[in-house]
Amino acid sequence: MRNTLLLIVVVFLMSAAAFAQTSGNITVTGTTPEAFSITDTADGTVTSSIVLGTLTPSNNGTLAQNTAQVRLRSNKAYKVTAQASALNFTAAGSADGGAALGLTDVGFGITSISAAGANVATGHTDTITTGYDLSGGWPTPTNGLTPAFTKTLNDITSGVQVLNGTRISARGNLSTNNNFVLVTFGAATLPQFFTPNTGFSTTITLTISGN
Amino acid sequence: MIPKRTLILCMLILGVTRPCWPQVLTNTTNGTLNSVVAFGTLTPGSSNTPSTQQFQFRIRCKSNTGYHITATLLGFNVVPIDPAQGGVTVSSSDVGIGITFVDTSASSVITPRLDSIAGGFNYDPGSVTAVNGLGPYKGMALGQATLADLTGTSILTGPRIAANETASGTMNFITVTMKLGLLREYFTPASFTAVIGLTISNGP
Repeated sequence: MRNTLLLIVVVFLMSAAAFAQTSGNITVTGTTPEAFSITDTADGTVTSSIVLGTLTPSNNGTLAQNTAQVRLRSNKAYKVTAQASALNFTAAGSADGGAALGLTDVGFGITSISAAGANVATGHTDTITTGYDLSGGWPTPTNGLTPAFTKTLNDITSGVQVLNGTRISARGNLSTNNNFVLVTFGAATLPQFFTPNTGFSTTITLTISGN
Repeated sequence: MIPKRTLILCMLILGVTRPCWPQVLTNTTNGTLNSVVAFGTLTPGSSNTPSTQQFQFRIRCKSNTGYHITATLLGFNVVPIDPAQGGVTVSSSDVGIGITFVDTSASSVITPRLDSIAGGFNYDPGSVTAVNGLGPYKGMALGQATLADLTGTSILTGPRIAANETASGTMNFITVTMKLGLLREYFTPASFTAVIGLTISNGP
């Protein structure tokens, strides 16, 4: 009797196992990682130039200035650091007891920030590090000398945080035209009787990362 | 020695249970369908082409009334790495799903035949181009189904497939290929897991 019952149970289980295969599962996995980007206004690699031109001294206090714009995107809180390399001079003349243009003579900062896109994260905010906010304009030179810039290129020789903020992009990718913060960086200097040269340059490296 | 009555009872059990399961749904090695489809790390780029993954399964059916396959999203679990902070977190409606191929070429498959992919699932999620870097799938009603549309939804129907539904048969099945698509976006940092349940049943 016991064997009979056992056989019935086995047969029942076998029959169920053999013919009950009518469903299955697919498990889908993925990761949406932390992501940050800094691009030019065409969403390409930032290789912008801030051209100050030929700095011929004059009798006014007009600064030579220019700007470069970048787009920032992130899916979490971010910070931007800036680092300037040493000045390179081309065909530098003799100093003859005078001064050459230095990093301290070039003001640097952020002239504007726009985060108005429809796919910018709700409640997004940006904070410019003290001294780098140029939304009020450049200082006015006095007596034909370098004005009292709140920050100059000399302040960012070691890689300094100049900006931070909350998550920028609600969604979208690097081609989305409304999920970024547009930041305008500016540089300015007063043309003076610096040691002559036929050109000078410095490279400012901007880096975005998690904050 | 097994009594005659016991044997008869066993045959009856088999006889009763067999007709209940005239369809079989397996993986491509005729085992239980329990596959994992991994998108990996979806770092946002500038492409408007979604990332895709696909999976396949086999169906067998000897029922004269044919078969239908239903799909259900059994779960969509997101584990955030960071807070959303006013942004969007990936969801089931961001993942497109479609049937890209129904292979009826096995020699024992009854022909001519017409297997019908349900509206909204007859598309390739990998061929949908995003606009402005935003998730491109519009949902089943607009011809581009997503995981959010899987609510016991019939996705494929057809007539009897073969004379038998033996799971070990090598020529008595149809192979269905399904594709998933997801555009890489600045979603909230997270990992996600979705489980799709597929069931084959009698009738259209």
